Amino acid sequence: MFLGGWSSNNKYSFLGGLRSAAQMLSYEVPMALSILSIVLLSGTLRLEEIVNQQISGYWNILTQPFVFIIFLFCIFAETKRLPFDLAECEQEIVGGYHTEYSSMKFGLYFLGEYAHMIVACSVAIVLFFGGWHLPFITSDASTLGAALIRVGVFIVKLWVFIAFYMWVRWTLPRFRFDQIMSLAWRAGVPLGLALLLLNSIVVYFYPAGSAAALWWQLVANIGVLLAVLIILGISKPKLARENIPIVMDAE
Amino acid sequence: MAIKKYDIINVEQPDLSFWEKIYLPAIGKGLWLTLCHWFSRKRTLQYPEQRREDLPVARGGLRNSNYRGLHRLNKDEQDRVACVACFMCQTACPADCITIVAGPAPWPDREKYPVTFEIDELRCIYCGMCEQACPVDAIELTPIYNHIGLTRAEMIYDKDKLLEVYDQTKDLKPRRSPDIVGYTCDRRREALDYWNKIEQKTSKI
Repeated sequence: MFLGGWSSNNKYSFLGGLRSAAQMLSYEVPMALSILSIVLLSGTLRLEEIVNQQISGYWNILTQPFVFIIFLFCIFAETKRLPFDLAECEQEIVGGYHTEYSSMKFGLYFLGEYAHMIVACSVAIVLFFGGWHLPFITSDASTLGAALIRVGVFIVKLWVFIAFYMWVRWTLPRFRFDQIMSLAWRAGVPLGLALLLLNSIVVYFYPAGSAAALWWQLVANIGVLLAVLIILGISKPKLARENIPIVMDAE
Repeated sequence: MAIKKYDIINVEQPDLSFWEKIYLPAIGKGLWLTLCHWFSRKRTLQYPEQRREDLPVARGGLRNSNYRGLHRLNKDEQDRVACVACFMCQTACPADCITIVAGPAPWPDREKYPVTFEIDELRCIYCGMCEQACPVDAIELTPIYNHIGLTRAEMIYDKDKLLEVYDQTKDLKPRRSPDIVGYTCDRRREALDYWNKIEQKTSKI
């Protein structure tokens, strides 16, 4: 994407490419941290194993809501969907990295974009929404029908997630670039680290998957979330433009 | 004109409330609004088949009385052009699209009349300032919005064409003040009385 923007020898494409590169690099970090939290609790990197654990226990979204929120805005930024689509914002830099591409080359770029979206959604579903698990139904059946149902469940979840992508797209306005960067480095990374630390403490004291561990994870998540919200709530936000008093001579 | 101190309104950015500062409820609210729109009635009109004229005004229909479309030149009660060639509309026009050539009126009740009156509908921005400027309500904007032409010259509407538009639209949108007849004494006296009254009021204050 970056190379594509650069090689089209156009300042807007170049800017778009630069932005997308910077944004992807920044958001890899909090995303990796939030995935690490999940991996730490599951004790495995195998997605199948993570899903099976969720089937036998609870979906990770229920025990790790704040990790999910971090992961969510990271995948939005990674796939450059609307609140974070600085790489291709039409109003500022025409089309971003794909300004100079047309027909099938453009098509390939967008195919890649949407494939990226689908992959990101699938990972989110596997990590947080129990993969192919239908709630309240546990079955180990390995017949063809069961497999098809699992695929169907997964695809429905995928659709819902993609619909959520679109929904957010038509709701939220675009951030400024420095806001995006500060969100990644000043909010995403420290919060991801804090959650990772708390989760590792929980895992150290309680066996992973035990009820106590799940409860403590939830407490840690909600505690961090509340702390962030309270800090945000009582802090005085910086105004975009300071109010300049107009001084006028008295008549 | 010097700006007085009491004319200055200091606009300060209001402080965000607690709930606004923690962002998440605000995002949820926005998502909810989008969801409501998702399921609400669609406002799109399938244009050539459905038209705004056919809808009631409350549902997005066209308001004939104040829609700003194609111009027309009104005729007075004797079917003469109502314009008195005072050049007010030409002066007021921000797009400079009105061209009037005035001549001595062949009728006894006014001094001038427009020999030619041309409006370049391509230059016009349909702001309606000509309508406001006209002292005799001769030029008015009609609800016609789909006037077309194949050449630029076709889109320059001359006097005959503008009067024709009046004939087409007089039922749709009657002339606002058809009672204005005889442009001379009565009206001028009325105006004078009006201004005198205002002056008396202000002098009392």
